[in-house]
Amino acid sequence: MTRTVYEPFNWEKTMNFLQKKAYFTLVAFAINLIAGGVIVAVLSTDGPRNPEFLGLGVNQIRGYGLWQAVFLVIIVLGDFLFRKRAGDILDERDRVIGGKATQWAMTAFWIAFGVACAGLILTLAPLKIALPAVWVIGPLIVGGLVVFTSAYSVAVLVQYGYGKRNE
Amino acid sequence: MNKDHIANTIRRFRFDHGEMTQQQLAEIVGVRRQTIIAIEAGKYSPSLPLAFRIARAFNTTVEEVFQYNGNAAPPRKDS
Repeated sequence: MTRTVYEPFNWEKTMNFLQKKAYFTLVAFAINLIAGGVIVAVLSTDGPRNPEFLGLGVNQIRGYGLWQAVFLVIIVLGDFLFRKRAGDILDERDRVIGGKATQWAMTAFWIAFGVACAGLILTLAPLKIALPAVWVIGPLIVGGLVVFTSAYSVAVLVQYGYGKRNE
Repeated sequence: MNKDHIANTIRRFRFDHGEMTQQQLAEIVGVRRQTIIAIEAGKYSPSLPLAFRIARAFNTTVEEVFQYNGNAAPPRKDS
């Protein structure tokens, strides 16, 4: 009679660097989104209402800029922390998963970009404003990167089966 | 999504070859253990080169290791 021995979940042995980067990116994005939401909530309430809340008033362009910069830092940090190291194997299944994830991410990006452009037109047209402000470019670019990276990360995790061992 | 299913007998071949572990087979054919797990479970269909490498690891043919269960279209007759 054979006895199946289940080893405890091992993060290092079970996941490759693509999965680790995907988890890191999604968690860091979520924390940054929640932090941004909290700041907006604090600023929009009558309690500690302060346009210079922690010097990061998100209703000001510099606040938005700093918030977006954190997203860029997360993307760069994820690439740096979970890069391919000596000894890491990237086999054909990993490349297939990466290719499909890129397709999913591109689809999500174009959908988000279309919705953002439609939203701009629908917002500005009733106000009879022909051209959006220059600062809108920043959120459009960073938002596009965030959508692309998030969709890529989700696609990677879905295809790997959320890190299940599949045994 | 491809509805064709490719069954395999990798698990049986591993045990017939001195209870070879998934890690050992992965190292022989040059992939990660998770890829062998996915192939064994039928969740990933390997490329032809990888299928040949796996078959050669067991000193057998691809047909012995992998079985195609899909509805293959008949060959086209141009004449």
